[in-house]
Amino acid sequence: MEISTPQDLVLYIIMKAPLFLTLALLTWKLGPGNLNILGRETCVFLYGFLFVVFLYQVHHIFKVNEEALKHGVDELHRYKFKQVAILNLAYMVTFGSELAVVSMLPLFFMDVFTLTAVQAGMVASSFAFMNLLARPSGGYFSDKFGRKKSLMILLVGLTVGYAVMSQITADWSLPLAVAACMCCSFFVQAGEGAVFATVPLIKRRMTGQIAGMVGAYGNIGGVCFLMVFSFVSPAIFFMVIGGSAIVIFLLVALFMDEPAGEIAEILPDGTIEMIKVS
Amino acid sequence: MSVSSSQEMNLFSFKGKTKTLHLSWMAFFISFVVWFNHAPLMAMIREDLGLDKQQVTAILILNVALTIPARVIIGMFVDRFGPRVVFSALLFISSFLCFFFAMADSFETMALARFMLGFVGAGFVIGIRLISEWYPVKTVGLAEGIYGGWGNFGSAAAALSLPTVALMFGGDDGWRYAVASTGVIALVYSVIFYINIRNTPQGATYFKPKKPELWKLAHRRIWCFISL
Repeated sequence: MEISTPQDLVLYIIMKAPLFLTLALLTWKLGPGNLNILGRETCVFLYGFLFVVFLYQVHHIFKVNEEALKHGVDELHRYKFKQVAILNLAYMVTFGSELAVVSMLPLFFMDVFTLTAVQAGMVASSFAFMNLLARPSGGYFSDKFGRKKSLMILLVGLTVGYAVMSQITADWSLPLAVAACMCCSFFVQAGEGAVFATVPLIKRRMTGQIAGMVGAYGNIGGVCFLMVFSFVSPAIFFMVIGGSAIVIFLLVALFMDEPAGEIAEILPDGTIEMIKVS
Repeated sequence: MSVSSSQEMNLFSFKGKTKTLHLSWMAFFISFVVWFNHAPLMAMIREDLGLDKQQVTAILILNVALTIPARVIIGMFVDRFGPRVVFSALLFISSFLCFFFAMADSFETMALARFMLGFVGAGFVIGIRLISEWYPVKTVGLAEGIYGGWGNFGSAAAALSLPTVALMFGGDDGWRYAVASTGVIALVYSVIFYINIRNTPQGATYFKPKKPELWKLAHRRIWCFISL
């Protein structure tokens, strides 16, 4: 991916590392002592392979950006990588937590409220139906009221939502627990919508690469939160997600910029086209 | 971008940007049906192949492992080759992976098929760029939200429908036909998508990254092989 300044290059490399660490984590999970699907040699080979690919990527990043590092990038053509980094993390806690929660929720409801598998499946599918409405709403709020503000408000809602879910016990009435769950899922999925309402407004010609990285972080979040879940109780699991969301809320509040002005892209004939982003 | 002067969203049209939006979320929807076509059938598959608990967990993990790097790689492909070709190709290839999974007779084959199917989970990335080409800033958030939200529903649709499809075919092989049928849908839709989609509105330019990334190297490698 092209970057605009040396600081951005460092941040980009830092943000690349979790992609490889997560794959290493999955290898470990499949390896001896855990699932025993992969043998020791295979695992060692995979760790080495991941490490080499990471080094190659770093090398490649320097090569692609050689020119930019030597001579700098024109103010007009710059973009801020911190925007990508923040969206990565925001998607990690929104889509990542959705992936993890969706896979533990049926069992959670079965255990707490002694439901049958079919009933629990129906409760869990309410999470999926919420997607149809929540994600477009998040995008709509972003278009209407500003992208940074919407994302911040939705992250607060997500934090409160998971805090409430961590309090669910067998003493709760089932409808109340389902309602809490659906409110939480609204904020989670609207947050996803808000993240991808900003992704296309950073640098047009790199939108695919930016979307790819943000999307990958969603999957990283899923893997990491599920890993947490395998060690702790559901209540703690929900609190860990809520806690991560507070940290990411602060990062958004402090560092994210509202997309403003225009993106410059060069047409094949050399003239510059300006694309409005606000 | 310049072509669409109207700012409002009319979802009941099937022209221009709205057509692009509808075709895109359907492509994403199908990619998610394929990506999660094993999940609701796992009980049947476990019984048919006699898998143990660890093998089931491993298959679920393998399904998401490749998605992480695949999203990054597909993102690079999209910027370079455009969403039309990349989404069609992804769906086309995924259909054959579906057939491969449907015919799997051992845990090893199944694990390999599922690992490769993780690639389909990257389909999401492709439409993000496509929608951003067609929708102006004032409605791009809503359009991306509809794309993401409605497409994402594909995993739920798979969960709700595939067990029934498997039972309709019946027998030990019911799950195989159910999985294969999602492959047929992906195959047909890859052609529909290719015929009906344009990367940008008429007259607009599809901007590509300045420096070629991996493929420059890939090209060099290929030429090396040829010259050998």
